[in-house]
Amino acid sequence: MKLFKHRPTEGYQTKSSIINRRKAILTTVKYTFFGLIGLRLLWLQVFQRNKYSILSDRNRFKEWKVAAERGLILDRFNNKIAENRQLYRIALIKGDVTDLDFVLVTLNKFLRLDNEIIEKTKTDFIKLRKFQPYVINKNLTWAEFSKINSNLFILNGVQPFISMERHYNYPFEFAHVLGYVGVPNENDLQNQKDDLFRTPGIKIGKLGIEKILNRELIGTPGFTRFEVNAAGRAVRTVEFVDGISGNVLKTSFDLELQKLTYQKLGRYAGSAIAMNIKTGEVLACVSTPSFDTNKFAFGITQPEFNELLKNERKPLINKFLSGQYSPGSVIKPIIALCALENKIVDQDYTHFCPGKIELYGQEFYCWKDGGHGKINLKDAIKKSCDIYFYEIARLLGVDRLAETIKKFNFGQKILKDFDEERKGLVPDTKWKKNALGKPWLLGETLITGIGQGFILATPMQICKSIAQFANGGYEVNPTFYLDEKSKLTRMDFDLENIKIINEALVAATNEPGGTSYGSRLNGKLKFAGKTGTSQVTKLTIKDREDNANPNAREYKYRDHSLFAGFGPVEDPKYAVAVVVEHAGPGSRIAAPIASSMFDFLFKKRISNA
Amino acid sequence: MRETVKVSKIFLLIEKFQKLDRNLIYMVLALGLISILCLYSIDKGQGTIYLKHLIRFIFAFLILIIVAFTRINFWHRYAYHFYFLILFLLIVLKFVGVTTKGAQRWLDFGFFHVQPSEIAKLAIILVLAKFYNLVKIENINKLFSLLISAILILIPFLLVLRQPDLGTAVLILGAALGTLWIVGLNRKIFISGFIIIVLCLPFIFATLKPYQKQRVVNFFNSERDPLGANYQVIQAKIGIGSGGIFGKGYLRGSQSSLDFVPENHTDFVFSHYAEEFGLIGSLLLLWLFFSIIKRVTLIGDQSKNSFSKIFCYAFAFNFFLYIAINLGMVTGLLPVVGVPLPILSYGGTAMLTNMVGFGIVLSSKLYNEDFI
Repeated sequence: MKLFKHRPTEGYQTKSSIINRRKAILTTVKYTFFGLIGLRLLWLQVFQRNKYSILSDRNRFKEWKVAAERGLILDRFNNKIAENRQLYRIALIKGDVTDLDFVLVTLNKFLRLDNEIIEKTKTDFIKLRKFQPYVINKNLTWAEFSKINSNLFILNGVQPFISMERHYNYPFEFAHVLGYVGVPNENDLQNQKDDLFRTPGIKIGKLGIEKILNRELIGTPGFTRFEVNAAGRAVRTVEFVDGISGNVLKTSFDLELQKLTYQKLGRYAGSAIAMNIKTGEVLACVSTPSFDTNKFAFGITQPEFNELLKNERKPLINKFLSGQYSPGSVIKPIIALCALENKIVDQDYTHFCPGKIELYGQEFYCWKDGGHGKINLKDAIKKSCDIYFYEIARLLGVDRLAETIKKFNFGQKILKDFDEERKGLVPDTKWKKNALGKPWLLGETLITGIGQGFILATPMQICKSIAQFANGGYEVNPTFYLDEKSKLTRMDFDLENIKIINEALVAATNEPGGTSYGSRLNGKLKFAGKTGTSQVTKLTIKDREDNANPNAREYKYRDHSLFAGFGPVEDPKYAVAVVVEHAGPGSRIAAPIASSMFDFLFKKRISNA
Repeated sequence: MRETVKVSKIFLLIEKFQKLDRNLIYMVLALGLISILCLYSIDKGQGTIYLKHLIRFIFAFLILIIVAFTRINFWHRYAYHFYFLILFLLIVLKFVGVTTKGAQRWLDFGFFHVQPSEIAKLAIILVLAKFYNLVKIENINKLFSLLISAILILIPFLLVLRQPDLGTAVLILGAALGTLWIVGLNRKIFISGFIIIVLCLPFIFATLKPYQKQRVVNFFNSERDPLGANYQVIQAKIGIGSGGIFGKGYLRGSQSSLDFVPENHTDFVFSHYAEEFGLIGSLLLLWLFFSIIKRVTLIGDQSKNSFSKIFCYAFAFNFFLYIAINLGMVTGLLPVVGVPLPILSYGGTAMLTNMVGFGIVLSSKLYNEDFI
């Protein structure tokens, strides 16, 4: 049976004629397909070449970045205050480690690893990608390092290496201002646009100058470019590019003065600043108690950190920038200047100090029982008479006071780039209405006149203000860097008035009866300054009676001890501010510390010059 | 007397050598050379794969010469025997085959492995060529002859499909259908067959193994899953594309050498070639393949008997089918099926099968005057 009939149109056919025709059709199919493949290759290899080249290189090359050496930090005399030291460490390479437990047990024999480190290594190791190195968190001694090196044949996948790590030569002295470096955390990584912080083993500035100038100090990482196979194993090194170490940073600090200041503040909680009144260069700034920045750089343990957090003297707080205190009597030169500028008083104006006054049934005391009697402006500053300043504050009113105080940059940040810096507070009627919703009271004006009440200042602000008196009324901005001198701009005060106050300040330290007379220097060069005792709580009658014994009260209710001064008197160069928390009267604690700082500066720095 | 006989035999041999189609031989040798260079480059001179391939190629080339000197009548006479021998091997494979990657494809002969399914392609062409040489022209479209050829095709096809080896099974079917087309089977049969297959597609898809289904699905969602099942095609395309017009240069390709391209020695060998030699090299290789096909077709044209003609055309089509499916797969035009690139891909049986095929083609030219 014929399944399909031949079409008559096909006519006479032989096998080969049919085969030939069928073959021709097949040939067309072949041409078409070869053409298609050709076009496809043209598309892939010409039009999409760039895309695939990038993908191929991404497959092929992996970069292993090596953090650059961090820039040194020097003091003004080129003493190294932060440098880098070689550290001996070991890394485990996942994929090369055949038996992790065995390797850890063997390492433990040589290194005596903490259990904590071993457990952490085990848990972290699982999460690693293949051939990713894992650095064991322990610094080795040279002896341990050489032991490991000579036993490498049994330690599969262990890679000893030498790294450069930050080392602080004076970790406690410079802790708050220099800060420290540490491993970047998730937050740091997210704030970072490029992948610099993702360099393995990199440490970034976490606090202080290390944080602010991190970019300059960190340098440019070097890298090794490897060719890797599909499994991720490095097949060969393609190129090695050296990193560029970070810039050397020359700071304005005077290492010897910093050490002395740290030592003088000693066991107290407080801060002290010394600065050049013309350039604004900060020679010393110390906050105590302090902490060991080297420990932070290597990762502090949780118990140690908790200890620091719990300490009631707040070692972690940068007191010269974040500490906000009632300035107490150190504000008096500014109050006096305000009175002179507003022509409320002149040099000869006198006021009678009876020891205490009464206002609307409220009593306001002078610090001196029985009072100072008849007193003029100069003596009021010298002897720090509170009644005199209540009076001129009352005459001026708080808004005029606030205006002048603000001209000295109280109530605002002085250093732009320290996140931890606080603004302090300069109260006036408007502020109180906005912040507390209450009208201003006259009594509050009076206590503002002696630096109590709402007013708050940081030690840095106090230091800046006294420097501006000392340099004759020029605005000067504190700086920590040697190559960055402050511009001096004239403040709109009468030079005569500044002079009057400076003379009074000289008297306060160098004339008998002055509040800091006890701390005066007897040499050729002298300093001048104002003490301050700022009350932390309102004093009771009993407290007043106990005033002679500052330790009678509980620590946190004791007065802060302040001093702000400048020197030498003849040709002022330096300003110093000292704030010691809960230590008692300014004349007894803060002034002697400032005195020894001036003593050092006069003897070691001026006679040398 | 004896001497003269010997001498005349030698002369005869030399004469035969001169009558061989040297164009085809040169092109096959060129392909072999490219193949060895390419495999050498993939391993950057390390390993022994390129050496093994070289030895296989030399061995297969000797077979090619021997086959070429065997009279075409021999192949005609023993086509059925050959076919049944292969069927026997495929059945034996069911019981004693070596299982690799979940499929029984190899027969272990101790010092070498044979993949009978590869040889089955040649056997089916030979058996159909003989069958249709014998069938009279008016009987070609009769049910009886259709049934016989269907049985001849389906037995090896199903045996290979059950191994399971989809790629080879498809190629066997393709080679067989190509042969049927060439011998002049009515177009309506093809069209109705095609319609039946399209209607059966959902059913066929349902019987596929999960990984085969995945490949088909992936083909239609190209770069969806770069690390999963599409990985090999994407990496192969990266290799080809990054080669550009002039290529990265010999021994400079990285995609296959660093093992990013899987099956880099076998099915995806073209990716490495295109990476190192670029568009120009790739087009030259395409031209070489095409020239070989044309040459085989030409020999078919010149053949005076239908057996040789059918064999040459069918073999050329089969060779084309390999290239088309392999290159289509490597360049991402077709779904991934395990089809090697003839001669270039590492693999002994496929090479041997192709070389025997070329040998028969050469033989059909050499003994064109013989009567079948």
